[in-house]
Amino acid sequence: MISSPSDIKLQKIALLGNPNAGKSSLFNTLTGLHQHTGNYPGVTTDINVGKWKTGQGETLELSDLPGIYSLFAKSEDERVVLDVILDKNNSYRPDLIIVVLDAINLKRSLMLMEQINRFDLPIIAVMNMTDIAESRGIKIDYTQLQKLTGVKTIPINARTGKGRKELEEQVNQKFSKKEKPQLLLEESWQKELSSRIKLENALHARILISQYEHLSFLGEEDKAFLKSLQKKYNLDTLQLQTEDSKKCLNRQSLLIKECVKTEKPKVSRTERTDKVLMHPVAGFIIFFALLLLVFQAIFNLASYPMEWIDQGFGMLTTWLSANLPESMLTDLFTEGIIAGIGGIVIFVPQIVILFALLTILEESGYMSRVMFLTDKTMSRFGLNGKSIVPLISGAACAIPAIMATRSISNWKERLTTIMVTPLISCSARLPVYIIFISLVVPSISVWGIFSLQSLVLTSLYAGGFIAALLSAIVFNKLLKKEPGSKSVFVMELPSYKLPQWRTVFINIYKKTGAFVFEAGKIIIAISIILWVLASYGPPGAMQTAEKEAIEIFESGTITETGLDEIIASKQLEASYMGHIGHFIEPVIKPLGYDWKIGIALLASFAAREVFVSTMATIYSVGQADGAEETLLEKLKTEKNPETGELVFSTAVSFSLLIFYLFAMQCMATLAIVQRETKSWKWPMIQLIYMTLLAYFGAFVTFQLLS
Amino acid sequence: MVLTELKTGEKGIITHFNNQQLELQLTNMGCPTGSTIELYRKASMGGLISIRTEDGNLLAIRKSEAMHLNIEKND
Repeated sequence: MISSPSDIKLQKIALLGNPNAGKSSLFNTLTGLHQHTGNYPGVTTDINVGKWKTGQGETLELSDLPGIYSLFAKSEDERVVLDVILDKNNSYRPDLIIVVLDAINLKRSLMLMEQINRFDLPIIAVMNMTDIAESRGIKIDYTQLQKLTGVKTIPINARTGKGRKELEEQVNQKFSKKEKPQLLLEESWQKELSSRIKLENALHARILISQYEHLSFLGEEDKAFLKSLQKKYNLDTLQLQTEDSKKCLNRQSLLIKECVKTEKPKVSRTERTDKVLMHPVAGFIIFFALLLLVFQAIFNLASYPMEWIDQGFGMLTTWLSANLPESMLTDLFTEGIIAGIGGIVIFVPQIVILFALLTILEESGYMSRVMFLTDKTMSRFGLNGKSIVPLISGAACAIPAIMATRSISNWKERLTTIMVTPLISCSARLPVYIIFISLVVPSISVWGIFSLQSLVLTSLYAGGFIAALLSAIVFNKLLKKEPGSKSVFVMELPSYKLPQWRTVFINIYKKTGAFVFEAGKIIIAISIILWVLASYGPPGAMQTAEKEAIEIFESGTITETGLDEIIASKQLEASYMGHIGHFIEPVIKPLGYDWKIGIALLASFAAREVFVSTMATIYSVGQADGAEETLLEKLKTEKNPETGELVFSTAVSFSLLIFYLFAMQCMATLAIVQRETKSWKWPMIQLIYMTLLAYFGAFVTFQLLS
Repeated sequence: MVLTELKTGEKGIITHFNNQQLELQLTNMGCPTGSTIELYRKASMGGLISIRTEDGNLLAIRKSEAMHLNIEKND
């Protein structure tokens, strides 16, 4: 094949379109599971990138750009699109843009397409939502549309994959660079600007003058120049952008008149459904019922697979320690690594269920109705209707929840949501809750229907939610508005549609993967470090500890415990871990904790779920053969060697419950907050305020109960 | 009159925005000055106000911002 120099070899293709136009559906249809999340440099926005294998045997790199209404961007997410289009050196810059048009929102879809078409990137368009448009009596004349816009347009159905073949054939064609239209600059400020920066068109000038502060590819000198230009000509940039968009919309109206026919629409199903779901009373009842259902599903449905996983890992550990040669390496493998992996995998059922349900609610269009209902209440706490999704997701894991705050365009409300989300009890706290609740709360029922244990559990969840709302009020008072951000709250209520199973499945796969690998790395590393710290001590210390243990055993002062247990306990105390535990004991003594709990607390600063596995490690290091007691039984009988009293009394257990309710014990969350806020300031503030809350909460609890 | 004075189901033409940022965002979403809007639903206790744009889209804005949207009621 001979290609002329003007031909562009297509490698990178980007999808671009309005939010809710079905861009992500199309992306999922075209790439399936061959996708990953690319971290966009400089900003916190992630771009999904995937491999698109066409029927012609080509593999193309497809990226899914953030949804935008116009190139006059209003948020960080949207500005990524500006970077990609205006910055010739951007690593995400595509060879071709596929504009996803929404057949039921043609006017504004075409406005965005016209804006992009003014730049030199080759584009083609796909028309999505054609089935809904047809049902609404919208008829599009594609030949006429193509003639008027000059852009090849293919009708598709992103959900079923209809039109994919035509799209792939089209993409396989050669694309020539667009012919540059003559540069027409009418206003004098634009001419002055073009003397410094190479402009493609007048729209380019308007984008630069109104967005320059936020454009990462502009140098400081260019920014200063744009600033002085704006001052010199006294330009009202908001006015300038609105005028341009208005003119553009008008052109689309005229264009649509020539190629689209609409019969009179009937009352839509969406409208009838909204009468119930957006109703001030019925809407709330349905929302709370659904919320209850989601929680029930997370706890009850997930409990079976969680039990299997737990038993499976228990059996694996027993089998491995019985069949592998006895060595330090085997110990590291079974007590460190396998135990660590087990501690991560156990949460997978809950995360899968939560994201399945959340994705269904989101995809169906229902979530935006929830925001509609709750925005007022949430805004009283300095939050936003859009905060409800992160707050609910926080019950599974704060990491995806904090990532979900990106949809909040108001920086202050977004930051407040980020700061308080980790107070919602996540699934990693659940094992800690369950262990201590089953330890000290009797398994009886109250008024014949509620179990006391589940009431305590519910109060802990409610406590976390209330703490989050109250902290939000404080943050709302303390935080200042971001100087540059003036964007107002405008939310779209998409029409209802059946969720697409492919999207639900891909979302679960991606979110679970993120949890297993992001949190997993840290947890396994910590598990190994812990094992080393608990198995080694200063030179000679371990041998001395063993000797002491034998002396105690032979002296016969402790009769109930076997020699192996005394050795294990003495050696742990002599290990590096024991030294650290003893070192912090004075600080945690007022909370009722001893050095062993101290070790687990420190270890779980990495991640809360480490607490349980650390306790397991502490109590199983050098454990006697055959005695595979459960952790719960071990804790129940654990006595203070000096006083002989139970270590986990009611006061200590509740003190620990309160500590875990409030404490910021998750390095992965801190890392995500750092990434989302682009500063270590916020995660540090979060760590400090949550730790203080946890410390004093636990202190008060212990002092009141003991 | 302003948008908040409309009752559910009533229509009006946008005559003027008193908030330029709101105007820019709504224009970009296909709802500029001069277009007809319908009050779709109001949330309780002074919550969000949803409107249906000329093209049949549903948008929701806060009451405090809806006060900045001047309209002329259609009969």
